Amino acid sequence: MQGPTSTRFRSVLVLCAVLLTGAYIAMKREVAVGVSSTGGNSAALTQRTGEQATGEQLQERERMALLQSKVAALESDLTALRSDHEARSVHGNAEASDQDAPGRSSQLTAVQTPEQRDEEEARIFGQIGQRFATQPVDAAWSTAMTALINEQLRAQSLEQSSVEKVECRSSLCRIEVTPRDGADLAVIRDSFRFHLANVMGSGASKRDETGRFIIYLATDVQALGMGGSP
Amino acid sequence: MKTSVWSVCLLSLGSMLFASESSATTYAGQSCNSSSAGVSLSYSDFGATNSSSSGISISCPLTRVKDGGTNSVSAVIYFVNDGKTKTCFLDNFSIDTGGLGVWTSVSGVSRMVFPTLSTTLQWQPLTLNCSLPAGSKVNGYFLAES
Repeated sequence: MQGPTSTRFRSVLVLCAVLLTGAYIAMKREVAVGVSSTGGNSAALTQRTGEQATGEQLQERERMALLQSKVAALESDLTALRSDHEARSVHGNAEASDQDAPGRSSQLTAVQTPEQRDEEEARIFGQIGQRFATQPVDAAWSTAMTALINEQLRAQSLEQSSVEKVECRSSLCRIEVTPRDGADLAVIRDSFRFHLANVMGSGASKRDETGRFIIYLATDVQALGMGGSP
Repeated sequence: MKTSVWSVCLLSLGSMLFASESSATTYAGQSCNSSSAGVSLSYSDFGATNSSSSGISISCPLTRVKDGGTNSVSAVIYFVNDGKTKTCFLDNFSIDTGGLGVWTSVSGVSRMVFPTLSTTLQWQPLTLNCSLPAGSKVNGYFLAES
């Protein structure tokens, strides 16, 4: 699949190739003209001392060598950029293939049906759960955060729901809530996250298949596995 | 001259390689609404003010331009610098459904930059939900999608 970036990249590559070739030819001509004019003007040459002529030739050679080294460096940079682009393309294609695998909807295409949405949400939430389950426990952090959450629970006294379990690892906490029928999930969520935002600024929540409301609180989006560059 | 040609070439290549199609939308603070029962915001030039005597919650909707995929999003929100701390959440979910929702938050006084959410659910709305202390004013906010 050719994206607009690839097309533009090709166009720029062609443009650069033309510019590089043109500039290189111009450089060669300039040097050649300089040499021929120096050689052709014998009258002027005879007026110069041998040392001056040798000095100019050396300067020319040095300039030539400098320009050649610059060209080599630029060609090297171009090769590196091209390799990097190819690597990115391969990586992108691999990701697309992976996401297009059966049972997984692509992140690059719109999820169309409610079933697909549920499946995708379950997949993402499962990844967060897996991240939590495999995270080692930092005893000090875990104890401190559990205490904070319990303190928050006492202060808020959720009338609508009962908190079944609070568990913290090293940057993630998991809170299991059984909401009363008709409970406002936003109120439950906000009762935790607003007051704990300074220590656990990110999170995710979802009802599981048993109807419990699961809240993950994380120190940041990276801990949640959902952070990155814009 | 030649160096310039090389520079232009390399810069063009670099920008083509690393630049991605992104969009940015700025919203006026007047787009925000109070989400606290019985309290309304006072709308005026350059934003909306909590004229009540107590802190309230506000909700500021965001509209995606690039809604075809799970693109990453980032946001910035601006308040009048009144020395009072506000906490804001960049929410990506519709809580009513009990479906998956993700959020990230920031606290600050005037200008608050949210961490980027790299995985987003394009079928769920994006909203900024903030605490707004008494007398505080929201000026505007900004959504960047990539």
